[in-house]
Amino acid sequence: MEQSSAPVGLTLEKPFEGRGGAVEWAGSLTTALGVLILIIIIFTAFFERRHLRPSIVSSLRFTSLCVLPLLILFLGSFSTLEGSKRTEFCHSCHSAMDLYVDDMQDKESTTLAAMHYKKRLIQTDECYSCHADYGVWGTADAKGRGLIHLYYWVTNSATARGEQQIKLYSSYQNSLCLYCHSGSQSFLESGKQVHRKFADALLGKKANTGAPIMACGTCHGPAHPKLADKKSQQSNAQ
Amino acid sequence: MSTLDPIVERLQKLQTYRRILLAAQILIVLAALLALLAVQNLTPITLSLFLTVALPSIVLGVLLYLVAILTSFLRRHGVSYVHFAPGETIFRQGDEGDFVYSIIDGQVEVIRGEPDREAKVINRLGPGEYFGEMALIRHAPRTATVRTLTAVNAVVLSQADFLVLYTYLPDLHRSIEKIMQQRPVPPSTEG
Repeated sequence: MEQSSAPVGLTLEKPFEGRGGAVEWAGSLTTALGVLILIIIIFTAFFERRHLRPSIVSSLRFTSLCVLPLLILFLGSFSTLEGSKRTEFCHSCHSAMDLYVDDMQDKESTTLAAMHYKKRLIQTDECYSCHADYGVWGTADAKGRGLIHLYYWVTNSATARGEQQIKLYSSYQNSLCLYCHSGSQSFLESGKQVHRKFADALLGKKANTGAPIMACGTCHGPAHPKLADKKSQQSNAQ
Repeated sequence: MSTLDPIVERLQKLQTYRRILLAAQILIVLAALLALLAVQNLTPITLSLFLTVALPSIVLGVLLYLVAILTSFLRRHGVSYVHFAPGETIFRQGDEGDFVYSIIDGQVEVIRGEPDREAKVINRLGPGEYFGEMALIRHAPRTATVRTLTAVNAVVLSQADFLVLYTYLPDLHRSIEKIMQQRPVPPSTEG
């Protein structure tokens, strides 16, 4: 029997699609709460005109103007902010990254992004996982910059900084790689403990630029193909 | 007179309560619609609208609702002195009964609307007279609209306080019964 050569991650992309994750549940609850608020506000106005008992009107008002909106505040924020970390969302604006996304999903590619994708090391939010800082302010920082991007896009500016050339805000930090890799046995013991030997260089930063003294990509890169190479590959294929 | 008195006085008015509540409702409805839009169709535009418009609207709407509750609380407790401008509607026919008003100076007109007829002025009241007691005693909505003809200063008594006085002061009880008999009977239980 001939075995399929397609990686498992590409053929079974959403094995639990039917159940939905926390984001989907939060989204559904937000929808239900939004509709419920509208219905209760309309009914409260109707019942008030019909002189329903004031205590019932007050309870309905408290529910529709205080309890449910606060629930929407939390559930809606969670649903939309988490949903906006997905690759499709990033890709909806960053269409210039088409080639990177194509490469990531290319089963023949050997770049870091493609390898992570094929092995499902990062199961969702592939762009966000490597390009937004972790921690409490990571999401806030990313979304704040996103809003600024949108402002520049709406006002027809070239880029967020008004520059023609798209580039990273700052040097890519090893901490983003180490968030997952540091501490793992394979990481610590690989290559005769080479990571331990270079720990200072991996964790240290250059004083003038803030870039890592030794970037992970120096040995393991590149994360993505060079755009020029990929474009030429595509034109040759055509 | 404390510096807060004018603010408290303004907050005690039914119209202020209604306006605040309406503003809260508008903000919450707007936020709910934007939340629905963002959740159902998550794009950078809908996400931005959710973050920059819906979330502040929810916070402001809930705060306004809490202010409305505060105004309601202020309106329902204690005796207070209230000033109304000329032409101001003090309450409307069909409103929930909440206060008795006793006029110190100024004049008001009492207007009643009936089904299939134009609203007409049924009475004018001046200093020393009071109005708004019928709804409180009968636990029914207001039977008429009261609007000021001139600037009016009035003393306002909440429902709970009024009913205590009405129950335990026989002279007041008799006086109000007499006035209620003289006043026109409302066209229906609502009116």
